[in-house]
Amino acid sequence: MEQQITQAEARNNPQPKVMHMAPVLRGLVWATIGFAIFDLMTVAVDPFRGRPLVTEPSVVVGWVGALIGWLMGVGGYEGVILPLFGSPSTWVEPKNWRKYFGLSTNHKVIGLQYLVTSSSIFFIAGMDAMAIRYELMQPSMHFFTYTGQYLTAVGVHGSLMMFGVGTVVLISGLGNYFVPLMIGAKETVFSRLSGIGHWLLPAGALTLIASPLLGYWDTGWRGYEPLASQDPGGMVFYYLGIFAMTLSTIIASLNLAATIIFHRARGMTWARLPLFVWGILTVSLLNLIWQPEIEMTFVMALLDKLIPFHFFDALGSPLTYLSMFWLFGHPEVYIIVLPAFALWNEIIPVMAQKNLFARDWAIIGLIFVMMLSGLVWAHHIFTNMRNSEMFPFSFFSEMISIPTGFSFMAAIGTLWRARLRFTTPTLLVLMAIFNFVIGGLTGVYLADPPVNLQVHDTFFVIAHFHYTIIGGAIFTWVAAMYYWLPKLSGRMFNDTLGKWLALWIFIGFNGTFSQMFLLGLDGMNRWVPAYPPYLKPLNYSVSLFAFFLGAGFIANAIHIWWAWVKGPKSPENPWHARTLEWLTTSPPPDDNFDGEVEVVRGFYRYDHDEPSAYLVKNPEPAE
Amino acid sequence: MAVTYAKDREIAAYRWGFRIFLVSQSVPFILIFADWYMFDGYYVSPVASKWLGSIEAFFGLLSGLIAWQALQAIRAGHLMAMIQGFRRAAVIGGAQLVLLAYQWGTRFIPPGTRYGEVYYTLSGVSGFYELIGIFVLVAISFRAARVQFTAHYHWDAEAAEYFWIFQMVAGFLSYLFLYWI
Ligand code: HEM
Ligand SMILES: [Cu+2]
Repeated sequence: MEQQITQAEARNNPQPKVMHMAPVLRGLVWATIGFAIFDLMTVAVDPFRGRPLVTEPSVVVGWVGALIGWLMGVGGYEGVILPLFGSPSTWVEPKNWRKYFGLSTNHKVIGLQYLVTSSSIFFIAGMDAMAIRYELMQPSMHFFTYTGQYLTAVGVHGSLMMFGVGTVVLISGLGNYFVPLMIGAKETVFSRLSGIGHWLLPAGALTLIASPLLGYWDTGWRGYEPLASQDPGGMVFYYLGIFAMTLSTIIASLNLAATIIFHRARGMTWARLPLFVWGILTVSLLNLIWQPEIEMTFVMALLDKLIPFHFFDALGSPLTYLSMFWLFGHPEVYIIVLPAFALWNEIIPVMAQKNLFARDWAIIGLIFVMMLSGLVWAHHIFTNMRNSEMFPFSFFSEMISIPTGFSFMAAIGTLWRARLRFTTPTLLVLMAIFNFVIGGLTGVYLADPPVNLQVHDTFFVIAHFHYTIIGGAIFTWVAAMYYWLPKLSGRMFNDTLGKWLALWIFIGFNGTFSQMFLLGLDGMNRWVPAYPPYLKPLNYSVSLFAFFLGAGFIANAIHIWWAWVKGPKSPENPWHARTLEWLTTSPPPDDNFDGEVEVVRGFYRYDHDEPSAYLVKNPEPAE
Repeated sequence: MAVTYAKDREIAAYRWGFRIFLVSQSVPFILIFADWYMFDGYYVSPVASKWLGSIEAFFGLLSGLIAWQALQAIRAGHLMAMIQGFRRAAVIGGAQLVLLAYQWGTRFIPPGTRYGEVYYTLSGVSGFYELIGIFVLVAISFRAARVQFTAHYHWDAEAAEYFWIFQMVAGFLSYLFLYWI
């Protein structure tokens, strides 16, 4: 039974809305109005001594008003609210560049919006890191005036990077753009919701950036209690900002998971599903479980501040907060790297033109990491536990390296005796693998209680997780940007320059973070703007490498940007890849494929010349 | 015509996605239930009014039932019955919220106690979901009239009903934990 449901989705309104203001601008105006209304209403019913116009509770309610105003303003009013009440939507998506500055329902536009927003967040949080490193060049405070400023800088840096970059670029960014293409879909299941979801990300990031306005906060990205409950008001924007950003991730994950399950092209069986798609599916499930968990935890912590309740403060149970945070926190770190694992095994077989080794095991590895990741959280709080409680967590933490190893095994098995094409993406993937080995192995050390109790909360931990996150995930992001650039733009980058730039960030990265291991072992603590003078030489050199690394990322960004707009035209399928995104033109048309896709084989075998899929073109429209 | 997506498959995707969304939304409740257990054990404060709580819970169940009947009505093609059903369910849900607000207003349960914290958090969170649910029910009742839902096309009503039942179950479990267990 085939029925048109367009009747209920009245989108072809005869009188499209004439926008007098760019949607983003209107969003800002409406957000301001929303804030003022909600804030003033709250101070009216809940006044505070001295009758200030903004109080901690009123800022929370005001923020909700601002968020509603913002989402309505960028297009939610015409695109969601009107149709929800049954009026035809008056929202028209522009055809030119303006489409990037408002609500969109096209997954490629949304993916690019995410990539650009997230890159901007990466830049801001990166400049923040530069400020941190500048402060740490001297043993005493010389840049920041108050310790609170330094700690706020660290907290904003960590929160933005985790929730606005690490969790976002590979999933909401590249995932939104490429997953539908890779499964041969023409659109996603919840496209409108997904379009709204993107606009939560800049809202959340701006909230975090604005947090110092309410007072410097000291807890860093973990929001540890009981410190958080006695900290200044900036904490409030930490909770709210992360709330918006995680909501954005939940929406993206929901949409992608449903799309993967329901919009696969004909012949795209589970056994043929590309690895990157498997990666996104597994992390989407993780996101759907754990992001709501941290959101509710933050709501409770927020109530502790506002009411005040005593769930987690010194009268309650701070340890409960720690567990609740890390229950989410450890899966979160895998949410960040699993798509990167998947991308290695996506790119390497293409560059080697060789069958992917042990594909099934690579997928099984992803799934087992996903399942085990919920069982290890307490390795982050060994210092607060009894000896007898540590063993199971230590055990599972070390066991998780086995399924992780499957991804490595697939990558290395494919590389084995391969005639690898040595391109920029290849180089960056190899670098990412190298970095992640160091990050992962030091993780295994850290999961060992005797080691952990020595180096917990030192720079050893900082080095460990930057090796996994920057070294593993961000390097892979850069690799994927180069790899997919011909698809995104139809243009090619300069391979020689690309390799030099890769080398640049590789040296900058390893120079910075390998020395942090030594710093940690020498006794450099986290969360301190001042330190004993004997640590100065190492810190000084770390900072120099860090500036070098920061400049390297900017150089890569400029190169990619240049190639995107001015690079030489690229051939249709420059890497001779077999996955479906290469079956269409570059950049892909609005509905992805000019015809129907049919998959006939898996994508990772290169021992034959048959195509993996066919595109049955739509008949030319009669003149 | 090129092949268009069969409507059934489209609806199946919405349905699956929405269910997964609800599963995901059960996580916050599971979290508070766990905290309820950790902070309160099986303690029920003697000042908690079982009467008021029970009336609220009854309203919740009643409105869930009415919304369910409304869905049955549209399945049989009775548009008006569905619209009225949704609105009635929303009104009864609203009455439940008013009762909750009354109970909060009296402050019989002191907020500064272990039981009080969990009480206000849990009832507040389920009240919040209920508020969203009321908004959705009302919005969909307007939409149903304007786009003319039919026995074949009424996915939006189904979704609203799912959400309403979800918040009803969550609210009822909260009631059991707060007043009885
Ligand atoms: C082989 C797997 C891994 C193991 C066994 C492991 C183990 C650990 C342990 C035991 C700690 C706690 C150290 C301490 O605070 O004393 C830790 C911290 C951390 N790890 Fe890992 N890790 C692994 C992989 C990863 C990955 C893949 C990521 C990220 C993508 C990651 C990110 C982090 C972060 C962010 C922290 C520090 C959080 C904080 O204290 O602020 N880890 N890891
Ligand atoms: Cu961990």
